Amino acid sequence: MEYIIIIGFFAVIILLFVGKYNRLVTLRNRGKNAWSQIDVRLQQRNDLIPNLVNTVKGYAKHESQTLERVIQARNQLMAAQGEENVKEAAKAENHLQSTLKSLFALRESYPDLKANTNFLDLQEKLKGMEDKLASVRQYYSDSVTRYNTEIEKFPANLIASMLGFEPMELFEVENEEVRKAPKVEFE
Amino acid sequence: MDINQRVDMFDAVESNKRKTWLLLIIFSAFVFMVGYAAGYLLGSGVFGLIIAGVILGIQLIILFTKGDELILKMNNAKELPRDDTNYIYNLVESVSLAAGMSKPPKVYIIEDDSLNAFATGRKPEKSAIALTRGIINKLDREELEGVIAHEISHVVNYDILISTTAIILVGVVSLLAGFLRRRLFWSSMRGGGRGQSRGRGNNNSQAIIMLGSIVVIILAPLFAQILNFAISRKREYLADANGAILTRNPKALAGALRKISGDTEVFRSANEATENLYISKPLKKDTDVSKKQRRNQRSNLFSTHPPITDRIKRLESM
Repeated sequence: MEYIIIIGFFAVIILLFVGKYNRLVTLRNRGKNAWSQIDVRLQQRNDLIPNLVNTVKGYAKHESQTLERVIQARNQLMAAQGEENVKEAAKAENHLQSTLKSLFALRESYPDLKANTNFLDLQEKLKGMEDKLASVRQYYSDSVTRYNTEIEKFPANLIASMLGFEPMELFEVENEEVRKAPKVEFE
Repeated sequence: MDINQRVDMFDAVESNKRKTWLLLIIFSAFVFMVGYAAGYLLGSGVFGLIIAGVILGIQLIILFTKGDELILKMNNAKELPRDDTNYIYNLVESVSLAAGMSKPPKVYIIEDDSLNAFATGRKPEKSAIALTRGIINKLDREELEGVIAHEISHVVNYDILISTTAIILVGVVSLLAGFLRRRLFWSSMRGGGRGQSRGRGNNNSQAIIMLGSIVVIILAPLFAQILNFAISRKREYLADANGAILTRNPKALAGALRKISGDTEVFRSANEATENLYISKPLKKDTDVSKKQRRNQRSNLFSTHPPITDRIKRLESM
Protein backbone atom coordinates (compact mmCIF):
# COMPACT_ATOMS: atom_id res chain seq x y z
CA MET A 1 0.00 0.00 0.00
CA GLU A 2 2.74 2.43 0.98
CA TYR A 3 4.56 1.62 -2.23
CA ILE A 4 1.53 2.59 -4.28
CA ILE A 5 1.29 5.91 -2.49
CA ILE A 6 4.99 6.61 -2.97
CA ILE A 7 4.89 5.60 -6.64
CA GLY A 8 1.75 7.68 -7.15
CA PHE A 9 3.41 10.65 -5.51
CA PHE A 10 6.43 10.48 -7.79
CA ALA A 11 4.26 9.91 -10.84
CA VAL A 12 2.37 13.12 -10.08
CA ILE A 13 5.63 15.04 -9.57
CA ILE A 14 7.01 13.76 -12.87
CA LEU A 15 3.84 14.64 -14.73
CA LEU A 16 3.88 18.16 -13.35
CA PHE A 17 7.54 18.47 -14.25
CA VAL A 18 6.94 17.34 -17.85
CA GLY A 19 4.01 19.71 -18.21
CA LYS A 20 5.97 22.71 -16.98
CA TYR A 21 8.98 21.79 -19.10
CA ASN A 22 6.90 21.55 -22.27
CA ARG A 23 5.28 24.88 -21.51
CA LEU A 24 8.67 26.56 -21.17
CA VAL A 25 9.82 25.06 -24.46
CA THR A 26 6.68 26.32 -26.19
CA LEU A 27 7.16 29.82 -24.82
CA ARG A 28 10.84 29.90 -25.75
CA ASN A 29 10.10 28.78 -29.30
CA ARG A 30 7.41 31.39 -29.61
CA GLY A 31 9.98 34.04 -28.76
CA LYS A 32 12.55 32.69 -31.21
CA ASN A 33 9.96 32.48 -33.92
CA ALA A 34 8.88 36.05 -33.34
CA TRP A 35 12.50 37.18 -33.61
CA SER A 36 12.93 35.60 -37.03
CA GLN A 37 9.69 37.20 -38.15
CA ILE A 38 11.18 40.63 -37.50
CA ASP A 39 14.05 39.93 -39.90
CA VAL A 40 11.69 38.75 -42.62
CA ARG A 41 9.53 41.86 -42.34
CA LEU A 42 12.52 44.21 -42.24
CA GLN A 43 13.83 42.66 -45.44
CA GLN A 44 10.47 43.06 -47.17
CA ARG A 45 10.27 46.69 -46.17
CA ASN A 46 13.81 47.42 -47.29
CA ASP A 47 13.17 45.72 -50.64
CA LEU A 48 10.22 47.97 -51.30
CA ILE A 49 12.10 51.25 -50.93
CA PRO A 50 13.99 51.25 -54.30
CA ASN A 51 10.67 50.58 -55.97
CA LEU A 52 9.16 53.61 -54.34
CA VAL A 53 12.15 55.79 -55.19
CA ASN A 54 11.94 54.80 -58.86
CA THR A 55 8.29 55.72 -59.04
CA VAL A 56 8.91 59.12 -57.53
CA LYS A 57 11.89 59.69 -59.83
CA GLY A 58 9.60 59.67 -62.87
CA TYR A 59 7.71 62.67 -61.51
CA ALA A 60 10.30 64.61 -59.58
CA LYS A 61 13.52 64.54 -61.58
CA HIS A 62 14.87 67.66 -59.90
CA GLU A 63 14.74 66.11 -56.47
CA SER A 64 17.53 63.63 -57.03
CA GLN A 65 19.16 64.73 -53.78
CA THR A 66 16.18 63.71 -51.68
CA LEU A 67 15.92 60.43 -53.54
CA GLU A 68 19.58 59.66 -53.10
CA ARG A 69 19.40 60.32 -49.41
CA VAL A 70 16.62 57.78 -49.02
CA ILE A 71 18.62 55.11 -50.83
CA GLN A 72 21.70 55.98 -48.80
CA ALA A 73 19.77 55.70 -45.53
CA ARG A 74 18.39 52.37 -46.59
CA ASN A 75 21.83 51.02 -47.48
CA GLN A 76 23.24 52.22 -44.17
CA LEU A 77 20.43 50.46 -42.33
CA MET A 78 21.00 47.23 -44.22
CA ALA A 79 24.71 47.35 -43.45
CA ALA A 80 24.03 47.93 -39.76
CA GLN A 81 21.55 45.09 -39.72
CA GLY A 82 24.06 42.82 -41.43
CA GLU A 83 26.57 43.42 -38.67
CA GLU A 84 23.85 43.06 -36.07
CA ASN A 85 24.85 46.34 -34.55
CA VAL A 86 21.66 47.14 -32.68
CA LYS A 87 22.62 50.68 -31.76
CA GLU A 88 23.69 51.62 -35.28
CA ALA A 89 20.60 49.93 -36.73
CA ALA A 90 18.34 51.99 -34.48
CA LYS A 91 20.07 55.17 -35.58
CA ALA A 92 19.90 54.19 -39.25
CA GLU A 93 16.24 53.32 -38.84
CA ASN A 94 15.46 56.77 -37.51
CA HIS A 95 17.45 58.36 -40.29
CA LEU A 96 15.59 56.34 -42.90
CA GLN A 97 12.26 57.40 -41.42
CA SER A 98 13.13 61.08 -41.65
CA THR A 99 14.33 60.78 -45.26
CA LEU A 100 11.14 58.91 -46.15
CA LYS A 101 9.17 61.74 -44.65
CA SER A 102 10.87 64.27 -46.89
CA LEU A 103 10.27 61.94 -49.82
CA PHE A 104 6.55 61.88 -49.12
CA ALA A 105 6.56 65.64 -48.61
CA LEU A 106 7.36 65.91 -52.35
CA ARG A 107 3.75 65.05 -53.01
CA GLU A 108 2.79 68.60 -52.21
CA SER A 109 5.00 70.13 -54.92
CA TYR A 110 4.14 67.54 -57.55
CA PRO A 111 0.37 67.21 -57.97
CA ASP A 112 0.85 64.57 -60.69
CA LEU A 113 2.61 62.40 -58.16
CA LYS A 114 -0.18 62.82 -55.68
CA ALA A 115 -2.67 61.63 -58.26
CA ASN A 116 -0.58 58.69 -59.44
CA THR A 117 -2.20 55.41 -58.41
CA ASN A 118 1.07 53.55 -58.55
CA PHE A 119 2.54 56.01 -56.06
CA LEU A 120 -0.51 55.85 -53.82
CA ASP A 121 -0.40 52.05 -53.88
CA LEU A 122 3.27 52.06 -52.94
CA GLN A 123 2.59 54.53 -50.17
CA GLU A 124 -0.11 52.29 -48.70
CA LYS A 125 2.09 49.25 -49.16
CA LEU A 126 4.93 50.90 -47.26
CA LYS A 127 2.59 52.10 -44.53
CA GLY A 128 1.22 48.57 -44.23
CA MET A 129 4.71 47.13 -44.02
CA GLU A 130 5.70 49.58 -41.30
CA ASP A 131 2.57 48.61 -39.36
CA LYS A 132 3.29 44.91 -39.76
CA LEU A 133 6.89 45.45 -38.69
CA ALA A 134 5.67 47.26 -35.59
CA SER A 135 3.27 44.38 -34.93
CA VAL A 136 5.89 41.63 -35.11
CA ARG A 137 8.17 43.65 -32.87
CA GLN A 138 5.37 44.04 -30.38
CA TYR A 139 4.60 40.34 -30.57
CA TYR A 140 8.27 39.59 -29.97
CA SER A 141 8.43 41.73 -26.85
CA ASP A 142 5.10 40.33 -25.61
CA SER A 143 6.31 36.77 -26.09
CA VAL A 144 9.67 37.41 -24.44
CA THR A 145 8.03 39.16 -21.50
CA ARG A 146 5.77 36.18 -20.98
CA TYR A 147 8.64 33.72 -21.23
CA ASN A 148 10.85 35.72 -18.89
CA THR A 149 8.07 36.05 -16.34
CA GLU A 150 7.37 32.33 -16.55
CA ILE A 151 10.94 31.20 -15.89
CA GLU A 152 11.17 33.44 -12.82
CA LYS A 153 8.09 31.94 -11.20
CA PHE A 154 8.22 29.07 -8.73
CA PRO A 155 8.44 26.13 -9.44
CA ALA A 156 9.27 26.76 -13.10
CA ASN A 157 12.40 28.63 -12.01
CA LEU A 158 13.84 25.35 -10.63
CA ILE A 159 13.31 23.59 -13.96
CA ALA A 160 14.62 26.61 -15.83
CA SER A 161 17.87 26.81 -13.87
CA MET A 162 18.36 23.02 -14.00
CA LEU A 163 17.84 22.72 -17.73
CA GLY A 164 19.35 25.98 -18.87
CA PHE A 165 16.40 28.13 -19.84
CA GLU A 166 18.08 31.50 -20.10
CA PRO A 167 16.03 34.71 -20.01
CA MET A 168 15.62 36.12 -23.52
CA GLU A 169 16.70 39.62 -24.41
CA LEU A 170 14.18 42.37 -24.79
CA PHE A 171 15.20 45.34 -26.85
CA GLU A 172 17.33 47.41 -24.51
CA VAL A 173 15.81 50.39 -22.83
CA GLU A 174 18.16 52.79 -24.57
CA ASN A 175 16.75 51.49 -27.82
CA GLU A 176 13.27 52.35 -26.74
CA GLU A 177 12.81 53.91 -30.18
CA VAL A 178 13.35 50.60 -31.92
CA ARG A 179 11.16 48.71 -29.52
CA LYS A 180 8.30 51.06 -29.95
CA ALA A 181 8.82 50.81 -33.67
CA PRO A 182 8.07 54.39 -34.64
CA LYS A 183 4.53 54.91 -35.78
CA VAL A 184 5.12 56.33 -39.21
CA GLU A 185 2.82 59.00 -40.48
CA PHE A 186 3.47 59.99 -44.05
CA GLU A 187 0.24 61.89 -44.32
CA MET B 1 -2.30 47.99 -19.54
CA ASP B 2 -0.40 44.87 -18.73
CA ILE B 3 0.50 42.45 -21.44
CA ASN B 4 0.33 39.61 -18.93
CA GLN B 5 -3.39 40.12 -19.11
CA ARG B 6 -3.05 38.27 -22.35
CA VAL B 7 -2.44 35.19 -20.25
CA ASP B 8 -6.20 35.17 -19.86
CA MET B 9 -6.48 35.01 -23.59
CA PHE B 10 -4.38 31.86 -23.85
CA ASP B 11 -6.35 30.22 -21.06
CA ALA B 12 -9.59 31.21 -22.74
CA VAL B 13 -8.73 28.94 -25.67
CA GLU B 14 -8.89 25.73 -23.63
CA SER B 15 -12.01 26.82 -21.83
CA ASN B 16 -13.76 27.63 -25.11
CA LYS B 17 -12.87 24.27 -26.65
CA ARG B 18 -14.24 22.52 -23.57
CA LYS B 19 -17.42 24.57 -23.63
CA THR B 20 -17.93 23.82 -27.31
CA TRP B 21 -17.86 20.08 -26.61
CA LEU B 22 -20.26 20.57 -23.75
CA LEU B 23 -22.53 22.61 -25.97
CA LEU B 24 -22.44 19.88 -28.64
CA ILE B 25 -23.33 17.19 -26.12
CA ILE B 26 -26.13 19.14 -24.45
CA PHE B 27 -27.58 20.20 -27.76
CA SER B 28 -27.45 16.71 -29.20
CA ALA B 29 -29.28 15.37 -26.16
CA PHE B 30 -31.80 18.15 -26.49
CA VAL B 31 -32.39 17.55 -30.18
CA PHE B 32 -32.89 13.83 -29.53
CA MET B 33 -35.41 14.71 -26.83
CA VAL B 34 -37.33 16.98 -29.15
CA GLY B 35 -37.07 14.37 -31.89
CA TYR B 36 -38.48 11.72 -29.59
CA ALA B 37 -41.33 13.99 -28.54
CA ALA B 38 -42.13 14.72 -32.15
CA GLY B 39 -41.93 11.05 -33.06
CA TYR B 40 -44.24 10.18 -30.22
CA LEU B 41 -46.85 12.60 -31.45
CA LEU B 42 -46.59 11.05 -34.88
CA GLY B 43 -46.91 7.58 -33.47
CA SER B 44 -43.32 6.33 -33.20
CA GLY B 45 -40.74 7.72 -30.81
CA VAL B 46 -37.93 5.65 -32.34
CA PHE B 47 -38.67 7.08 -35.76
CA GLY B 48 -38.36 10.58 -34.27
CA LEU B 49 -35.01 9.67 -32.77
CA ILE B 50 -33.73 8.48 -36.13
CA ILE B 51 -34.89 11.65 -37.85
CA ALA B 52 -33.25 13.76 -35.11
CA GLY B 53 -30.03 11.78 -35.54
CA VAL B 54 -30.02 12.31 -39.29
CA ILE B 55 -30.68 16.05 -39.00
CA LEU B 56 -28.05 16.41 -36.29
CA GLY B 57 -25.57 14.45 -38.40
CA ILE B 58 -26.13 16.68 -41.41
CA GLN B 59 -25.73 19.79 -39.28
CA LEU B 60 -22.51 18.50 -37.74
CA ILE B 61 -21.09 17.80 -41.18
CA ILE B 62 -22.01 21.33 -42.25
CA LEU B 63 -20.47 22.72 -39.08
CA PHE B 64 -17.18 20.94 -39.53
CA THR B 65 -16.86 21.64 -43.24
CA LYS B 66 -18.66 24.81 -44.25
CA GLY B 67 -20.04 26.39 -41.07
CA ASP B 68 -18.23 29.68 -41.52
CA GLU B 69 -19.02 29.94 -45.24
CA LEU B 70 -22.69 29.41 -44.48
CA ILE B 71 -22.72 32.13 -41.84
CA LEU B 72 -20.93 34.55 -44.17
CA LYS B 73 -23.43 33.77 -46.91
CA MET B 74 -26.38 34.27 -44.54
CA ASN B 75 -25.05 37.78 -43.97
CA ASN B 76 -24.38 38.52 -47.66
CA ALA B 77 -20.66 38.94 -47.07
CA LYS B 78 -18.36 39.07 -50.11
CA GLU B 79 -14.68 38.22 -49.91
CA LEU B 80 -12.14 41.03 -50.28
CA PRO B 81 -9.22 39.65 -52.26
CA ARG B 82 -5.79 39.70 -50.64
CA ASP B 83 -4.06 42.88 -51.72
CA ASP B 84 -1.31 44.66 -49.83
CA THR B 85 -2.11 48.03 -51.36
CA ASN B 86 -5.51 47.96 -49.62
CA TYR B 87 -5.43 49.47 -46.15
CA ILE B 88 -8.21 47.27 -44.79
CA TYR B 89 -6.26 44.20 -45.70
CA ASN B 90 -3.09 45.71 -44.25
CA LEU B 91 -4.82 46.51 -40.96
CA VAL B 92 -6.13 42.96 -40.61
CA GLU B 93 -2.76 41.42 -41.38
CA SER B 94 -0.93 43.80 -39.07
CA VAL B 95 -3.21 43.12 -36.09
CA SER B 96 -3.11 39.37 -36.74
CA LEU B 97 0.70 39.53 -36.58
CA ALA B 98 0.55 41.37 -33.27
CA ALA B 99 -1.70 38.56 -32.01
CA GLY B 100 0.86 35.99 -33.19
CA MET B 101 -1.38 34.38 -35.79
CA SER B 102 0.43 32.31 -38.40
CA LYS B 103 -2.02 33.28 -41.10
CA PRO B 104 -4.27 36.34 -41.27
CA PRO B 105 -8.05 35.84 -41.34
CA LYS B 106 -9.85 36.33 -44.63
CA VAL B 107 -11.61 39.65 -45.01
CA TYR B 108 -15.25 39.96 -46.08
CA ILE B 109 -17.30 43.03 -46.88
CA ILE B 110 -21.04 43.38 -46.25
CA GLU B 111 -22.55 46.00 -48.56
CA ASP B 112 -24.59 47.81 -45.93
CA ASP B 113 -24.42 51.37 -44.62
CA SER B 114 -24.77 50.45 -40.96
CA LEU B 115 -21.71 50.17 -38.69
CA ASN B 116 -20.96 46.59 -37.71
CA ALA B 117 -18.48 43.75 -37.86
CA PHE B 118 -18.12 40.09 -36.87
CA ALA B 119 -15.71 37.19 -36.96
CA THR B 120 -16.38 33.53 -37.67
CA GLY B 121 -14.63 30.23 -38.31
CA ARG B 122 -13.69 27.11 -36.41
CA LYS B 123 -10.06 27.97 -35.73
CA PRO B 124 -7.72 30.94 -36.24
CA GLU B 125 -6.06 29.43 -39.33
CA LYS B 126 -9.44 29.18 -41.03
CA SER B 127 -11.17 32.29 -39.82
CA ALA B 128 -12.82 35.27 -41.43
CA ILE B 129 -13.64 38.82 -40.42
CA ALA B 130 -16.61 40.59 -41.96
CA LEU B 131 -16.96 44.38 -42.00
CA THR B 132 -19.87 46.43 -43.24
CA ARG B 133 -19.27 49.09 -45.90
CA GLY B 134 -20.58 51.63 -43.41
CA ILE B 135 -17.98 50.85 -40.74
CA ILE B 136 -15.20 51.10 -43.33
CA ASN B 137 -16.42 54.46 -44.58
CA LYS B 138 -17.25 56.12 -41.27
CA LEU B 139 -14.37 55.07 -39.01
CA ASP B 140 -10.88 56.46 -39.39
CA ARG B 141 -7.90 54.19 -39.78
CA GLU B 142 -7.12 53.85 -36.07
CA GLU B 143 -10.72 53.26 -35.08
CA LEU B 144 -11.10 50.60 -37.73
CA GLU B 145 -7.91 49.01 -36.43
CA GLY B 146 -9.50 48.93 -32.97
CA VAL B 147 -12.58 47.14 -34.30
CA ILE B 148 -10.43 44.66 -36.22
CA ALA B 149 -8.40 44.02 -33.06
CA HIS B 150 -11.62 43.31 -31.16
CA GLU B 151 -12.62 40.77 -33.81
CA ILE B 152 -9.16 39.22 -33.93
CA SER B 153 -9.33 38.77 -30.15
CA HIS B 154 -12.49 36.72 -30.70
CA VAL B 155 -10.59 34.70 -33.30
CA VAL B 156 -7.50 33.86 -31.24
CA ASN B 157 -9.66 33.20 -28.15
CA TYR B 158 -11.63 30.57 -30.06
CA ASP B 159 -14.78 32.52 -29.29
CA ILE B 160 -15.52 32.01 -32.96
CA LEU B 161 -15.54 28.23 -32.53
CA ILE B 162 -18.23 28.28 -29.88
CA SER B 163 -20.33 30.99 -31.54
CA THR B 164 -20.21 29.31 -34.95
CA THR B 165 -21.16 26.00 -33.34
CA ALA B 166 -24.01 27.58 -31.39
CA ILE B 167 -25.44 29.26 -34.48
CA ILE B 168 -25.44 26.10 -36.56
CA LEU B 169 -26.99 24.12 -33.71
CA VAL B 170 -29.61 26.72 -32.92
CA GLY B 171 -30.55 26.40 -36.56
CA VAL B 172 -31.43 22.73 -36.00
CA VAL B 173 -33.48 23.33 -32.90
CA SER B 174 -35.55 26.15 -34.29
CA LEU B 175 -36.12 24.17 -37.48
CA LEU B 176 -37.38 21.18 -35.51
CA ALA B 177 -39.47 23.32 -33.21
CA GLY B 178 -41.13 25.09 -36.10
CA PHE B 179 -41.92 21.78 -37.75
CA LEU B 180 -43.36 20.36 -34.54
CA ARG B 181 -45.52 23.35 -33.82
CA ARG B 182 -47.20 22.98 -37.19
CA ARG B 183 -47.57 19.25 -36.70
CA LEU B 184 -49.19 19.66 -33.32
CA PHE B 185 -51.59 22.23 -34.67
CA TRP B 186 -52.81 19.90 -37.42
CA SER B 187 -53.18 16.88 -35.17
CA SER B 188 -55.23 18.87 -32.68
CA MET B 189 -57.46 19.98 -35.55
CA ARG B 190 -58.06 16.41 -36.51
CA GLY B 191 -59.08 15.48 -32.99
CA GLY B 192 -57.96 12.61 -30.78
CA GLY B 193 -58.59 9.83 -33.30
CA ARG B 194 -55.02 8.60 -33.18
CA GLY B 195 -54.98 8.30 -29.38
CA GLN B 196 -57.89 5.89 -29.42
CA SER B 197 -56.50 3.62 -32.07
CA ARG B 198 -53.29 3.15 -30.11
CA GLY B 199 -54.81 1.58 -27.00
CA ARG B 200 -57.19 1.95 -24.15
CA GLY B 201 -56.62 2.93 -20.54
CA ASN B 202 -53.42 4.95 -20.81
CA ASN B 203 -55.03 8.17 -21.91
CA ASN B 204 -53.75 9.79 -18.75
CA SER B 205 -50.09 8.99 -19.25
CA GLN B 206 -50.45 9.90 -22.87
CA ALA B 207 -51.76 13.30 -21.90
CA ILE B 208 -48.79 13.80 -19.59
CA ILE B 209 -46.33 12.87 -22.29
CA MET B 210 -48.22 15.10 -24.68
CA LEU B 211 -47.96 17.94 -22.20
CA GLY B 212 -44.26 17.29 -21.73
CA SER B 213 -43.80 17.34 -25.45
CA ILE B 214 -45.57 20.66 -25.71
CA VAL B 215 -43.35 22.09 -22.99
CA VAL B 216 -40.25 20.88 -24.81
CA ILE B 217 -41.52 22.33 -28.06
CA ILE B 218 -42.31 25.69 -26.54
CA LEU B 219 -39.04 25.82 -24.65
CA ALA B 220 -36.88 24.81 -27.59
CA PRO B 221 -36.38 28.20 -29.23
CA LEU B 222 -36.17 29.95 -25.88
CA PHE B 223 -33.62 27.49 -24.59
CA ALA B 224 -31.60 27.85 -27.74
CA GLN B 225 -31.61 31.62 -27.49
CA ILE B 226 -30.61 31.67 -23.83
CA LEU B 227 -27.72 29.34 -24.57
CA ASN B 228 -26.69 31.55 -27.44
CA PHE B 229 -26.76 34.61 -25.23
CA ALA B 230 -25.02 32.97 -22.31
CA ILE B 231 -22.12 32.38 -24.61
CA SER B 232 -21.06 35.88 -25.26
CA ARG B 233 -21.53 38.61 -22.64
CA LYS B 234 -18.24 38.30 -20.79
CA ARG B 235 -16.46 37.71 -24.06
CA GLU B 236 -17.27 41.19 -25.33
CA TYR B 237 -15.45 42.79 -22.41
CA LEU B 238 -12.53 40.41 -22.82
CA ALA B 239 -12.34 41.05 -26.57
CA ASP B 240 -12.43 44.81 -25.98
CA ALA B 241 -9.60 44.56 -23.45
CA ASN B 242 -7.49 42.23 -25.54
CA GLY B 243 -8.13 44.28 -28.64
CA ALA B 244 -6.88 47.37 -26.83
CA ILE B 245 -3.77 45.49 -25.70
CA LEU B 246 -3.08 44.31 -29.26
CA THR B 247 -3.19 47.82 -30.71
CA ARG B 248 -1.92 49.56 -27.56
CA ASN B 249 -4.67 52.02 -28.31
CA PRO B 250 -7.82 51.68 -26.18
CA LYS B 251 -8.93 55.22 -27.08
CA ALA B 252 -9.37 54.29 -30.73
CA LEU B 253 -11.65 51.34 -29.98
CA ALA B 254 -13.61 53.50 -27.51
CA GLY B 255 -14.01 56.09 -30.27
CA ALA B 256 -15.18 53.41 -32.67
CA LEU B 257 -17.76 52.12 -30.20
CA ARG B 258 -19.03 55.66 -29.66
CA LYS B 259 -19.52 56.10 -33.40
CA ILE B 260 -21.19 52.70 -33.63
CA SER B 261 -23.62 53.47 -30.81
CA GLY B 262 -24.44 56.86 -32.30
CA ASP B 263 -25.21 55.30 -35.66
CA THR B 264 -28.85 55.43 -36.67
CA GLU B 265 -28.57 53.36 -39.82
CA VAL B 266 -30.67 50.20 -39.70
CA PHE B 267 -28.82 47.03 -40.47
CA ARG B 268 -30.85 45.60 -43.30
CA SER B 269 -29.34 42.16 -43.61
CA ALA B 270 -29.65 41.49 -39.88
CA ASN B 271 -30.36 37.83 -39.46
CA GLU B 272 -31.79 36.72 -36.15
CA ALA B 273 -29.72 33.55 -35.85
CA THR B 274 -26.41 35.33 -36.39
CA GLU B 275 -27.00 38.65 -34.66
CA ASN B 276 -25.03 37.70 -31.56
CA LEU B 277 -21.90 37.51 -33.65
CA TYR B 278 -21.70 41.22 -34.28
CA ILE B 279 -19.60 43.74 -32.38
CA SER B 280 -22.78 45.61 -31.53
CA LYS B 281 -26.24 44.12 -31.68
CA PRO B 282 -27.81 44.86 -35.05
CA LEU B 283 -30.94 46.97 -34.93
CA LYS B 284 -34.24 45.52 -35.98
CA LYS B 285 -35.86 46.50 -39.25
CA ASP B 286 -38.90 47.87 -37.46
CA THR B 287 -37.94 51.44 -36.58
CA ASP B 288 -40.12 51.60 -33.47
CA VAL B 289 -38.38 48.63 -32.01
CA SER B 290 -34.96 49.91 -32.92
CA LYS B 291 -35.64 53.30 -31.37
CA LYS B 292 -36.71 51.60 -28.18
CA GLN B 293 -33.63 49.42 -28.30
CA ARG B 294 -31.42 52.44 -28.60
CA ARG B 295 -33.18 54.33 -25.86
CA ASN B 296 -32.96 51.68 -23.20
CA GLN B 297 -29.67 49.98 -23.66
CA ARG B 298 -29.60 48.60 -20.17
CA SER B 299 -28.54 45.03 -19.73
CA ASN B 300 -30.85 42.20 -18.86
CA LEU B 301 -30.92 38.42 -19.04
CA PHE B 302 -31.42 38.41 -22.75
CA SER B 303 -28.83 40.88 -23.90
CA THR B 304 -25.78 39.40 -25.56
CA HIS B 305 -23.76 42.54 -25.41
CA PRO B 306 -23.08 44.68 -22.37
CA PRO B 307 -24.26 48.28 -22.68
CA ILE B 308 -21.93 50.08 -25.04
CA THR B 309 -21.46 53.03 -22.67
CA ASP B 310 -20.07 50.64 -20.08
CA ARG B 311 -17.67 49.19 -22.63
CA ILE B 312 -16.46 52.67 -23.56
CA LYS B 313 -15.95 53.56 -19.90
CA ARG B 314 -13.84 50.47 -19.31
CA LEU B 315 -11.68 51.15 -22.36
CA GLU B 316 -11.09 54.73 -21.36
CA SER B 317 -9.88 53.73 -17.91
CA MET B 318 -7.26 51.36 -19.33
